[in-house]
Amino acid sequence: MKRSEFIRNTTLGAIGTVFIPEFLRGMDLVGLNGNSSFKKLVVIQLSGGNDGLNTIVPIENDIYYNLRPKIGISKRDTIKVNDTLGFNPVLEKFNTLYQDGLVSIINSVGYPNPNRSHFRSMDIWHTAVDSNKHSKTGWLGRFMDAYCGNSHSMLEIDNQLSLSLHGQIRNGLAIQNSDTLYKSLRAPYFRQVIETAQSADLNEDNQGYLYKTLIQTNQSAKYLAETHNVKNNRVDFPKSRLGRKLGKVSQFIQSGFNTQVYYVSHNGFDSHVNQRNLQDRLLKDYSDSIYAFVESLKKAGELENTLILTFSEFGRRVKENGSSGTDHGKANTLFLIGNNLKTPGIYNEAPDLLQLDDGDVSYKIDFRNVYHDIITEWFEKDARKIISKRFDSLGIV
Amino acid sequence: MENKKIIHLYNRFGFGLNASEIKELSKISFKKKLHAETVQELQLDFSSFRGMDFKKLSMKERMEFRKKARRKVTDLNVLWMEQMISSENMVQEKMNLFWHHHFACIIQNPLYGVQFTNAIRNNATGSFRELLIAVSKSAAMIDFLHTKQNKKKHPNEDFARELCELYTLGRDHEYTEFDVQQIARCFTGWNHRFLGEFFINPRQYDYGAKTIFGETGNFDGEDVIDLILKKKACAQFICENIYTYFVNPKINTAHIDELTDVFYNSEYNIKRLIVHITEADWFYAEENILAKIKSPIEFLVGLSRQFNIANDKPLPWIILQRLFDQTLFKPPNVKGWKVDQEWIDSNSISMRLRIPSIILTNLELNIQTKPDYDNNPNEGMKRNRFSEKLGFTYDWDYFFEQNEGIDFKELFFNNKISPQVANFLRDRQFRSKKEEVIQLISLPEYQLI
Repeated sequence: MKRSEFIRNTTLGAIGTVFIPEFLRGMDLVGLNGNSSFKKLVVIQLSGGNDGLNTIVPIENDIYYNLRPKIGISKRDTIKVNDTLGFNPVLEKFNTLYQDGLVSIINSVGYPNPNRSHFRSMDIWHTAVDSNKHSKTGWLGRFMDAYCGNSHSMLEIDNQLSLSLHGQIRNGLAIQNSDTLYKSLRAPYFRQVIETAQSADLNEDNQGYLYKTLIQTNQSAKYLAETHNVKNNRVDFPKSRLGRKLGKVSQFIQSGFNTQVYYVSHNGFDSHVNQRNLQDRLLKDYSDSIYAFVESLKKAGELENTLILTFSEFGRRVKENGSSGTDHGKANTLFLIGNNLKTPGIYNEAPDLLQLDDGDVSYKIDFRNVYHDIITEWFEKDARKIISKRFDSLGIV
Repeated sequence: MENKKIIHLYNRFGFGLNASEIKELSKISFKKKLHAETVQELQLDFSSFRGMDFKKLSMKERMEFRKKARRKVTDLNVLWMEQMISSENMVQEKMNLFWHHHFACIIQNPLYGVQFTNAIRNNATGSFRELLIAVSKSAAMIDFLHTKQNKKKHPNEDFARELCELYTLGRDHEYTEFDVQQIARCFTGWNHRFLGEFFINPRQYDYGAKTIFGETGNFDGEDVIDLILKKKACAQFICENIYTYFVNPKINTAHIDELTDVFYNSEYNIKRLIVHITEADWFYAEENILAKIKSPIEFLVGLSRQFNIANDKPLPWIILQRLFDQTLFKPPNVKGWKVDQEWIDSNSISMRLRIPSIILTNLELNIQTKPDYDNNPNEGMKRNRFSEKLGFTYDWDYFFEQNEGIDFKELFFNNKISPQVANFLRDRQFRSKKEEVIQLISLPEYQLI
């Protein structure tokens, strides 16, 4: 089958396709030929709802300080960004990246009719459908259906796969290490089961489907285990969970994996109680880890081809609660990191605290517009197959 | 009835059989078996909540209260698991699971969870009308689909829409957007009290005339349900769902037409419908044998029944459910859980193949599940690291006693194995019976029923 045919056959039009024709083929489908100069996206999800206002502080805004008598960060403690904004003091290394022109900060990103449940709001960010709709596929999964040939085109560094990476035809792969999956399938028994199936004529029913999935998994697992040849980073990463995950992503990229999307979660941002301690610790970890990650990509000459997206499912209420924390809010700040950004710096004005939506930051930019731009301008692909809504370019990537 | 049919029958209307059960059940008809079954409600001990007034609690006490409530939901979940594993009323238990799949309601309040599951249990093989009304009036559903917020002045269409789309007619099938708006008005004022009792708030109820499916009248919620049930499309939609769940993921329209007639003409008698399925020759056709991929619950319960698997701690059950993406009372969204092939991808397949051997040899499972988002998005920080033995107990003696004299390929795969697997097995040497069993249930075929 020609590539163009393959793409036609695997778009969303083919919903319900049971048989996947390229299933048993080799892994050369994407045609990357071991060349790592293709574009990659690294998504970092701040789970639990990061408080954007204590990440980038509106240092001249009285409303902010009035509504946050306990947890507000005073101007002199922040790292100056411009006359009205300052970074949370723990973002020292992040600020270095910012000063180097590697960061775009996009304010008030959200979606219409926001939902304050973690679960629902995260679903909405993952599926990129309207907030009153549901979908079993994620935006990256749909991208994979349309443009990628195998599960390891998208890797999540985790035990379980996020909805984002679920497609109609195939799902991304969740792994902790490049070799654990392969080792588990290399047990002599499974190896024999797989070998037997590989030489067999598999039917198209569910039995065949199970074997095909197993063979495909084995191919991906084998590819990852054998291709992973950069086992050390030239930069020290923090020993935190996020640091280790990003250290791994860096190794994978340097090893030349033909993976287009890496997905990493940084958990624990649900700061209802004693927010300062909790959030500062997580943000410092983020700042230090992302700095190490960018440095290591730079040294490997890979920063050019890598875009890093950081988001959280919602921001938090402007007014602090009675436990020195904040409750679930709405729109939030999103970061893009890379050295090909069109508008590094603060992309749009800081949230308008005079015009709140029921006590929350209201959204100015639909997050799907950011996805749209990543698909059309970073990956240079057609977004219609992935995002149903039409958007104009924001001019960010 | 011959073994092949019995095994297939109770793979679908049960969680699989052991050899003694095959022998026993081949002596009686499905109808008799179903007749002999009883409804088993689930009950929890709520005495530790007695006398608590939520409104008077401090922030901290409220958090404690919620934590305790969450643990109770876990208890209820495990109680249900254990009942599916140990109950002799396997048809009832399978129907309960199906109806929770059909009414995919997310429940965080243990009291409402008990009420919801028992609403299903008491009607699972009875009248679909009664079942639908009981579920619609349950506190869990009223909370989940915002019927509570559905007021005369500010109608909330959530329940009305899902009632048509997911529970009775199917998306855009014989109803319009206008019907949804009108139906919402009929359910205004539907509410529940703190302990879950249903009531209609007369001040929120819309007494005006409504026009539904072209008919005008002073309809209330139950009238709407009758108007919907009058449509044969509703019987067809339910039959399609039952067919894909119990017979074959691929629809056969002739069979659906046959079932729709039976269901509709029996006034939505669920027992009549499923008995008809089990008495149809086509149900036992080769194309239906082992044609379905087990859902995670079917997989875990079937395995546990076979080996008498138990755990004195609730957490390992929850870990497994979460690992495989099917937690009772916690479907991913209103549309419900995955079905059939959707369960299997590169991530789940290797885990599915390995879990039976991990449990039955007490190996370590090194796994960390994603945080439980609704309840505690931060929990992944410290808890949920599961790098230890799951601690399940199992009973090999029981397994061998119950399965004396049966060929294990018949027991596990109903003798339907592909040529390559047959070849593969022919060449294998097993050092022990146990090894043979573990190897068989580690084959992809074990994921099928």
